[in-house]
Amino acid sequence: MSEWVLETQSISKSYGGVKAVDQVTLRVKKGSVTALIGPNGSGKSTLFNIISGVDKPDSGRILISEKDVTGYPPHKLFQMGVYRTFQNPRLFFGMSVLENTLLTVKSPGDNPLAALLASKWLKHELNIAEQAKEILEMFSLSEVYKNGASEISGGQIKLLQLAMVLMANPRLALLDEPIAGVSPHLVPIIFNALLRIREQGKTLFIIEHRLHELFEVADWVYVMGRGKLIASGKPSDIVSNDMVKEEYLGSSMV
Amino acid sequence: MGIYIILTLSLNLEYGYGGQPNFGQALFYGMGAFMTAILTSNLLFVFAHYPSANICTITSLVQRESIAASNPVATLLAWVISGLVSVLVGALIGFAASYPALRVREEWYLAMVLLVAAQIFTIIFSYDASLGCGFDGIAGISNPFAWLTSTSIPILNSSYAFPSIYAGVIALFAYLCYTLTERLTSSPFGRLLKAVRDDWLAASTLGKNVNAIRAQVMVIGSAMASLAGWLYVYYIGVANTADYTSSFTFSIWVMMILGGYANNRGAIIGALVLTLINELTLVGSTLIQAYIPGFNPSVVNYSKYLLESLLLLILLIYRPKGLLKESRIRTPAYTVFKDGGEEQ
Amino acid sequence: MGWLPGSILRSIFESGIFLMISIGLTLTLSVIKLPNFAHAEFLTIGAYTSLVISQVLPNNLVVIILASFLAAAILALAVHNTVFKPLINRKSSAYILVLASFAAAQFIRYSVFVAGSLGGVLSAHPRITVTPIVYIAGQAITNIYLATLIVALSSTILLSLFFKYTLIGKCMRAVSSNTTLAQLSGIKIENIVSAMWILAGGLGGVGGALLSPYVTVTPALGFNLLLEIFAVVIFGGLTSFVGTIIGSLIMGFAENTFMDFLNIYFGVPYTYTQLIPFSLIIIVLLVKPTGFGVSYSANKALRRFLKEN
Repeated sequence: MSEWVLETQSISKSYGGVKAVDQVTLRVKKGSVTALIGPNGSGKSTLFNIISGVDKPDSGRILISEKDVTGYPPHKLFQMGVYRTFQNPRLFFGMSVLENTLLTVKSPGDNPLAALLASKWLKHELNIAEQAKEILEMFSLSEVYKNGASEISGGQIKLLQLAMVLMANPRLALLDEPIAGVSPHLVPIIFNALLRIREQGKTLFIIEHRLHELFEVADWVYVMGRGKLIASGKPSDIVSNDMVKEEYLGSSMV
Repeated sequence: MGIYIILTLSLNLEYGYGGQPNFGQALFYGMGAFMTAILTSNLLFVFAHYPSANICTITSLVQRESIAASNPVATLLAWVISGLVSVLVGALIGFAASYPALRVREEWYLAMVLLVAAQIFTIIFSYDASLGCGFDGIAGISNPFAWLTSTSIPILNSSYAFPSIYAGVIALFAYLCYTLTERLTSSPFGRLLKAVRDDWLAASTLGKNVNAIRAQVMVIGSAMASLAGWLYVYYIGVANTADYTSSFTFSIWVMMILGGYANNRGAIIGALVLTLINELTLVGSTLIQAYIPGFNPSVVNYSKYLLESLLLLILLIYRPKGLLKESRIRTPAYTVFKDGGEEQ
Repeated sequence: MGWLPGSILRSIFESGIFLMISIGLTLTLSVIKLPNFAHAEFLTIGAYTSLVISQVLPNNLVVIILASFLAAAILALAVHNTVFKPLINRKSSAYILVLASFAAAQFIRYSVFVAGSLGGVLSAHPRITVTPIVYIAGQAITNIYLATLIVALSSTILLSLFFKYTLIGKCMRAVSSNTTLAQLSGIKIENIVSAMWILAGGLGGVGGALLSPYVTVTPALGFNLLLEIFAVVIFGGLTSFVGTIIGSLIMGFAENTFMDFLNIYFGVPYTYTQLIPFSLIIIVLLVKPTGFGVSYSANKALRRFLKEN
């Protein structure tokens, strides 16, 4: 097994002549917490879209554990172990917290013919429900498990997103701003949750603007600016990198 | 009545749960009906050892009716086979119809494609007499239990027994369809359907093959609609394109919206209420004609459509969720929690 | 080949009719992105208005056109305020809007049915005399032919200019591209949308009036043309006026010259003419879902407009 879960090789993507992502080559180490930072509009989310198959790159290759997955549709990439959250949470707001959690797992009852025979999926369903219960308790969501996802608070939605990551048990989780827009008292709780996910041996690739907290947990940092990768290194190196400071880091932020 | 229930359940599965706007319900229903009529007409002759003939002639119609009244084996065989084939054909067309969904740009294009496909079906079957006898349709499809009258079994050979038996059969199929959709939707599959309906992109990033799921729901839904077409032809005795128009599809939509989106019991209630309203307008028209001489009866006929569209507009504007609210996907998963997932 | 010139002339005339009855729907789609299935009912209302007015003022085309514009515009405003406005405010899905427009269409149609059957005009002809002005290649060019072509072309050109150069037209494009942006620029969206409905409904009504001398006026007149209208608009790429003109020409020629050709050389019966719009829709939707028209870059137009002001 390779120690790199994800490799991108010269990924480029433009929209109407504007290069959103320009020749980005990066690697994410297995079991690491890797941060992707950069000002708004620097192409971070576009890169995530490309890695998770939501968008197709104009050129370049994507490798997941050394397998070329360029151009795979999102559901195939999920089956390869790539999980992606969205900056504006894309949950199923018409459904309950529990249903959202269960949806991250493949069930034998997903097939309409098997769905007719409860015996085919009942045992699995109860198993994953037990698992979901544990995870929801871990994220203090077990009280609201039957509420609709639209009925819980913004902070709880962020927590639910992470609970779903844990439930899905992916090889690589792409988290797009897991803390943004959360009230300050929830920030440490979410960071604890991130650490807990890492303890389970998952690889995390995180876009985030709360650099102070992020740099405490990150093993490696990539910095993007205007679609290009402009720096990479350990958090301590990035903080002292002049070019990065100029491009992005205001002194107030770190 | 049972037939409307099946159609409403089918549309509710496709749109209420699966988010696929089937504005071509009449196509699947009509295909089932015409498959049935064509197959039955030919099969009856084969099973009863008649020479094959043009199914559109009056002679063949009379022959069909006489076989149905006397030869139970041929009649029932033709009934069962035409049913199986119709459901199969319905499923196939449903699969074909799910293809455009993958290509359309604007949301409502799929609705348009299905509406147009249904329209094309009507025109071809109306004008091309070689397919379904043109505007006259294929008549002389007797009740599959009509032969009971020629037997000597008491009670069952009376002239009202066989229609009641067939009504029972339709009710049974409606019940089966209800159980089927209820099981399908209270399962992980039902959960998937709703997920795809609410946010297909998010569903696909969670590893769900959205295209496959959309195709599956269209196949099941249109097979059900074709089943309804099969039952209907044997009930009404004729397959005629005039019965499978876009106004008809519209009625089914009204039933579904009335009963409640993504709620199978709601679909049944919607079908029942609207059928009742239609029956009442019919009774009303007869009464008005009896008491007010010179009254134009067609006005009452028009008022049925007026009422239907008004009802739908009021529903959409004031109560878009219908009579019953959307039900949660109730799998046993909730039972692992302390309170067993009881509704608050 | 003697059939060809006459057939081409008929194609051009019918293209004019198609343009007239479709341009309003293009407008609706380009401003509020609403696939309005009730658009065809504006035609019916226009045709009935023409029927009624021509009883009083036979052959007075100008009055008839103005009156049918007015009647259909009022209807369009009424439908918008009672049905579409509440639904759009609630951000209903496109399917719900399609369904609602279907319901509105059926309501209008059967109201006309009831009124028509009480008034004894379920199928009637307006008192507009069709007089040939010249004969070209055996095909009569009538006063209605000319009126239709003139009105259709001039209203499309005027609409285009209106869209490009007047303040309210520019605002309409702003509404279509970005509602929030339009709100920020101080445009009263409600007024713009009302103006749009007056134009869309009114033009549909005029289309119905111009059609009325050639067909039997029935309450289902518009409904029977519904899918043809959509075929034209979809072919033109939904929101482009130029596209709609091209779409109308394609429809006009497909239903006349092309159909004549099929009939004469392959014996295809004319009853299948009805299949042409449907096939066009399916082909466009499946092969080139963006249509064949050229769309305005509305965003760019708005930015320019904001800079100018």
